[in-house]
Amino acid sequence: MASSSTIEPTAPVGLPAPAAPGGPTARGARRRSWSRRAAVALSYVVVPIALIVLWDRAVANGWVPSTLVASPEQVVTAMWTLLTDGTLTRNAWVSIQRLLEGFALGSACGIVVGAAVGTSRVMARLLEPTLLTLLPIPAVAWVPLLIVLFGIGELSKILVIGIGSFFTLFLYTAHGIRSTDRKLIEVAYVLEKSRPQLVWRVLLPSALPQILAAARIAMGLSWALLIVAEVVASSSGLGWLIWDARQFSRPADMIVGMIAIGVLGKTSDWLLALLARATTGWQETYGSRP
Amino acid sequence: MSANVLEVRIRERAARVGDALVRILGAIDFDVAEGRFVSLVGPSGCGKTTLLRCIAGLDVEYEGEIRVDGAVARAPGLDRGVVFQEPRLLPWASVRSNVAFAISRGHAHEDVDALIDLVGLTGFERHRPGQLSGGMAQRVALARALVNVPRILLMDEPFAALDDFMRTRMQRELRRIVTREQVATLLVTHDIDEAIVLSDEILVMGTRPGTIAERIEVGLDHPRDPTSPEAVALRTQVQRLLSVEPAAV
Repeated sequence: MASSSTIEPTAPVGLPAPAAPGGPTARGARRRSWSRRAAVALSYVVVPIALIVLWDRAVANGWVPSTLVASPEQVVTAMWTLLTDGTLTRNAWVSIQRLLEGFALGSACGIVVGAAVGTSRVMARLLEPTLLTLLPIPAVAWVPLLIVLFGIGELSKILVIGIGSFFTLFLYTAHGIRSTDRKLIEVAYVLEKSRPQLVWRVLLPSALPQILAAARIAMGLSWALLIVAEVVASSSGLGWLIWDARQFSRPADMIVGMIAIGVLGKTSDWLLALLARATTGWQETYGSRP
Repeated sequence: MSANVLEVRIRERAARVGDALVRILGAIDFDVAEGRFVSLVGPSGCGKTTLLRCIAGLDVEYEGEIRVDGAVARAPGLDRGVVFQEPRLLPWASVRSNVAFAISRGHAHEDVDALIDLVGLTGFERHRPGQLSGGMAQRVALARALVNVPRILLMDEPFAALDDFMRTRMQRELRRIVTREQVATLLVTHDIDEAIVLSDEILVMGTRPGTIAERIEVGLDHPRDPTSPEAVALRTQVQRLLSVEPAAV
């Protein structure tokens, strides 16, 4: 904030003016922009391209058995086939539905319970020891119990994703609320704000960055849990598609399924990152620098 | 003589530090009459912030009694508007939302924008605290403290973090605003000139435990010039009381 308001004009007070356009640096920036833009674009794709080349060489040179691992070319062909006959979209859609249902259910419960534990000492005493004991149990370890209880239907898959999301959101929401600046709570106190107002107007907004960070972690975890659940007990979805392709020796289809998960997973994370940027732009942190 | 808005009758505020019992405040006894501007001056560590927190209802570990408009005040209340040393704004909310956040139905100024105008921030309603300078942020805090039309404004070194130029300016504006709002004010400061320029009465605090060592009536006309002979004489008097060497003018 160069030349910020040490000397402010008579009210209303001025914000620091933006740098004058066409200044001495503007021309240099324009000249650099072409090569700079190319370098930026390249930096996004250089690692994927290198990986694909490495994979291609590995199959072509026989570093991996070509009967078991498909080449990039075969994968592209298989992807086209699976897309056009609807296999990929059908199974992807089934997976996305399971994922979103489990994620939404688990996250909502996690935020509610996390907020209760974070704001109330009684709730913390009642729930926290139990939840913190269940927390280290990997959500995957719940799968056998869920199958015994609910069979291999949709419910057990949604619940395992829900359990993973729940614990992540619970932990971060409670922590986010507890890290609220005490000074802001004093402000609410001197303004005679009620408890619900304190929670809604101060504690939850303050915890929001942590809640959204937790949502991104939970989303990543949800994809992993979804695939495990589909591999263990399912006849549809991307996890099933991968496992079925392995069992019936269609190595290209296997990798198509993996790529689909990667692309969908990245998209879901990107959407959550957009949401985070739109709602927590007020933070002045290293990550939020322009 | 108008009625007292604030009556402070503290016998003691002690705190346990390790095994020892430390007296932070001793017997403190003073009133603030309606519409008066009173400053509490003292060196760092004299307990002036603790005293203000007691009056605000944020510290209730004292012996004695504090009354606002005759009613015992041992908890925070909308009859007292508090401006802290830091602006303490909600960082995610706009200037307008920060002021509106304070609104309590039945008490409040109907017009938030008029208050924002009063503190000179028209045009900045949609800015977030991170986009404001220190002086501007403290203006928002002042507007927020005034929203519920308090009987007394409690300010804890509100301009201490500002540079000289900005501080002088904010002092002038504070004087204008409290005169217009006709609100009594209790200002805690370690800046003697600030107290002289603003106050009707200066309470000089002594240390360990904190007590009121002297009360000084400031009878000068506004606007005041801190370099005028009367102001300099007052400053010398306060400095003597605080046992600091009078600085060369």
